[in-house]
Amino acid sequence: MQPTERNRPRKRWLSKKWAPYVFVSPFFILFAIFGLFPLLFSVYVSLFRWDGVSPLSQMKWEGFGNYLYVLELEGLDFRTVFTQAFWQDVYSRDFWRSLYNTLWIGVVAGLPQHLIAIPLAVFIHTQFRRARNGILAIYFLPFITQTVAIVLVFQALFSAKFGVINSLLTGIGQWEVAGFAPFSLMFPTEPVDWARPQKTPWIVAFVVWWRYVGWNTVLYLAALQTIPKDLYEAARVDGASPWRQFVHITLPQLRPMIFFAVTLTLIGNLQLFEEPYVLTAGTGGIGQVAETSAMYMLRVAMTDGDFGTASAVAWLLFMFVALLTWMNNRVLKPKD
Amino acid sequence: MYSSRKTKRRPAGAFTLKLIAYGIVFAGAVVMLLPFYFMFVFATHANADILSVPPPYWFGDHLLENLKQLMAMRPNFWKSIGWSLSIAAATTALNLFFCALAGYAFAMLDFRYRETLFGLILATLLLPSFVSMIPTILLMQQIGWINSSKALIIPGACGALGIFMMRQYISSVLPRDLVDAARMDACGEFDIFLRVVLPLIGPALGTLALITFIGSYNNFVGALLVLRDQEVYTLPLVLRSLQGTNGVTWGALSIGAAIAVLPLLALFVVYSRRLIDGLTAGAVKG
Amino acid sequence: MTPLSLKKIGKSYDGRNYVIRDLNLEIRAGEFMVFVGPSGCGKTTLLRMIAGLEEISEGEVAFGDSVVNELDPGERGAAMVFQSYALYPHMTVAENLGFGLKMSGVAKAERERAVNDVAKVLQIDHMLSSKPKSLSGGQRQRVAIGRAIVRNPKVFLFDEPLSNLDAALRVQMRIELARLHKQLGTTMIYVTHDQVEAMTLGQRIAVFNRGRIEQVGTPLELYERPENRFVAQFIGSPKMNVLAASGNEAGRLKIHSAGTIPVPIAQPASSAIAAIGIRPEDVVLHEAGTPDTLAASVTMIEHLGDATVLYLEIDGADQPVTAKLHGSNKQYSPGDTVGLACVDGKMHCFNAEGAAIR
Ligand SMILES: Nc1ncnc2c1ncn2[C@@H]1O[C@H](COP(=O)(O)OP(=O)(O)OP(=O)(O)O)[C@@H](O)[C@H]1O
Ligand SMILES: [Mg+2]
Repeated sequence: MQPTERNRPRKRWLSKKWAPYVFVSPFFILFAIFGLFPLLFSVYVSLFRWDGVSPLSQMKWEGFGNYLYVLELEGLDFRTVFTQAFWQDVYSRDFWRSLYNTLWIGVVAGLPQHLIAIPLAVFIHTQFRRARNGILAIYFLPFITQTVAIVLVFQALFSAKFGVINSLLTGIGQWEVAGFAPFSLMFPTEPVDWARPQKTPWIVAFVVWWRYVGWNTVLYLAALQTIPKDLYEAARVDGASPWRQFVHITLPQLRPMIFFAVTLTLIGNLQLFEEPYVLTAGTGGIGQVAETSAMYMLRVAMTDGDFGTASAVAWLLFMFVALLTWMNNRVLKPKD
Repeated sequence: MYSSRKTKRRPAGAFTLKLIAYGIVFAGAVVMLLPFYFMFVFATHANADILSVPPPYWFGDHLLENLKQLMAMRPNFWKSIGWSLSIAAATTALNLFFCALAGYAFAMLDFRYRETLFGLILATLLLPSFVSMIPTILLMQQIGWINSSKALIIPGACGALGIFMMRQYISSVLPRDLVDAARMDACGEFDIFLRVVLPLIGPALGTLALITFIGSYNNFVGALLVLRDQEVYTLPLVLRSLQGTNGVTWGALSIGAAIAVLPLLALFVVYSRRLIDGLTAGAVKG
Repeated sequence: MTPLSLKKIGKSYDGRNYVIRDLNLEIRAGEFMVFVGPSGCGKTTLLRMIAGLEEISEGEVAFGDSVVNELDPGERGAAMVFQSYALYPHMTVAENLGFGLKMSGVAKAERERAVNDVAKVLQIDHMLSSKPKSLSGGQRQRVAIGRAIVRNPKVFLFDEPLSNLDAALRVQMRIELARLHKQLGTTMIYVTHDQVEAMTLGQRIAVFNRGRIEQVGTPLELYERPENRFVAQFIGSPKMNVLAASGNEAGRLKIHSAGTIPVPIAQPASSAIAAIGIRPEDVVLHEAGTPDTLAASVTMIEHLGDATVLYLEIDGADQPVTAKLHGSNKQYSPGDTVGLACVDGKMHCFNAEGAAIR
């Protein structure tokens, strides 16, 4: 064979030793500039009074003043903790109200997501073959849909006078068979005035539920697929009913995913912003009934122009999320 | 001959239960789809129809008028779609490149602190988004990126989730020997990535592209924080700005929403399986 | 033709534990050198250090006169054939073959000529435009070898290249590799688990154990004159019987409680004998009670057709002794008692450290 003439290899601009560091560096560079630095800076800002636009030299030292201002604890009569008046007083303070709203919407939207998603996933997993992908895609569709667009549609649907939802609900409520309305107890027979402030958090919670129930179903389905089939076969040999199989095999095997999915919901719902923001046109609703903490924070920054206080809100909220996540870890995390 | 299985009878109760369960699943599916249906229905009706009782349940003939009204209210509507799509495309392209590069390094190369660095990347996923909202505004104001598409593209050019996905995929499909073979073939480290790794991870790139594109196209909060001028509004901001504006009809709003949703709807119809699998793969393993 | 010299090679992945320590080896120009050894002994690691894929923690690797420690794999002039073939799945066979040349900056026309030449030699020229996926295991193997040849390397490195093939194909490829070596005359280093491959292919064999080389020699040297118990038992199949010896009184060795035999080697070295080794094929069976034999009883018999393998129990020994008799032998059945001896001059002796004594 002819020896092939070998050219001098090009000098490497990237040695084997340094290449990996170069390859992973983009993330760290971007995170340092757009993540870490601003975060640290906001800790610093939270100790000052500052409008965010004037030069840094105009910042006024506040110490923990911003934090105290946000917490607004003065004037609360702690001896009356067990009275309704005390909690009404707490609710009238912006930060606490936003926190309450966030938690309320988080629970009312979050809990049903999982209570419905788990049986739904089990049912789709065991019963559907060919239609399965189609059904799943339908449930998943809301998750990938632009929030603003779909929320605008929901606003139309929820209108009191002409809303589709009212028509549908009263339609079902008034539906009669032989002079008897079977659904009249569960469904309204008169149009509901969705514009009333008491209804706003419910609407927000519904939209949030609607957006994420499919996502959770998909998560649980994925986990179901990893459960070994022979577990069920063994149970069937032992004569276990489907219900007992669900309780004794499915649920325990799903536990890691339940933990994961609930954690995602928890973190996600505590930073809820888009849905309530668009549903209330950025106002938080009449009396800020649906103003979440993230919305409150942004209002303080953009409307009040008080970036120091807004940063303080962010960090108080962060501590709160960290606390809840920690508690969630203690309670739900599967021990192994 | 009758097989024993055929003659075994199901209890009637189980059958009704099953029927009810099917009913609930399909009712749920209807709940998921109805808003989309009415979005398209309303887009074809005049305000008077929509406001009547009962509201319209079937398509009307007012589509073009609604569209005309939308354009009159927001002349930059089409531009904002182009703007949104191009921002999403740029973000996606950058993410594919940088995430694949980093994912490849974490999956295939040996280096000191590899596990630590990867752990750090995953840890950033736990940071709630709201803590960075205020700092991001401040930073963008300081460096003058307010109203610039850079503010939306650059910070998200290399997502932690993307790196995680790519690492998982690459370590499951690429044999290490392949990289070594390329080294023996006088291939430089970056050339290995470009000529050997990239061509072999097409499926993962596709899934990551879908996920990033959708996320970026739908990004409302990021745009809300840094885009202030109507001129540079992305689609979600334009839609949001219509809300509560005097004289905007529900029909015009609906057609705007429909147009905004359509590109992803089309994408989803084709790629739903892939997208769902891609999104859940990380959750199941991690 | 390039000689290789490995001097005081050490390798540690974590900076504390050494996988290879203080290893010295000279490989002659044009030699076919085989590395064998039990799993995890560092054969692959050493091969990868020679290739440049693994950093050399200590010592020097030289190709000819030039130390290559600091050179990239592509610059060393070594080519490697991987156990998994490691063909690029997205490239055609021709592209696979030519990739290395392309990356080294060889012009297209020249590249094509080299690829065609090699393809002809390996009889894969009719599938140059197929993708690896559509090839059989043996064909992939050929492409992998071709990819190494086409770069005209100074040294070929093979890491268990045949272990993914079925038995018949393995024999065929073995013969082809031997032919290839004769034809090219290039230095080759070949890692394998398979003794037969090692004995048939290797001009010299290096036996590895726990990161060290136990012995280097021609196949026959290793078989006939192993330097220690490890090599003695590693080479040969079934493996050599090693029996503890004690006493050495009046020129006789006591083997467990099975009897005594005359010391096979000359004094004074014989005083250090702690064990004797007998290859199964060197075992001779006499009638029970024959003088200078060991009392044994047959426990199991395997008929292989061309040979018969007997497992024998010796009084006091916990390991059975294996005997391999020529032809199909129907003389013995389980339970028989026999007198066990060794062919004259074939007995191996080891001292307490396991080193051979002669
Ligand atoms: N990347 C690595 N990091 C840490 N230790 C390693 C690494 N690669 C190999 N080792 C260790 O080095 C030792 C030698 O491994 P090597 O692969 O060289 O063995 P081998 O002789 O080729 O074995 P086999 O015959 O099974 O292929 C083993 O104990 C192995 O655990
Ligand atoms: Mg090996």
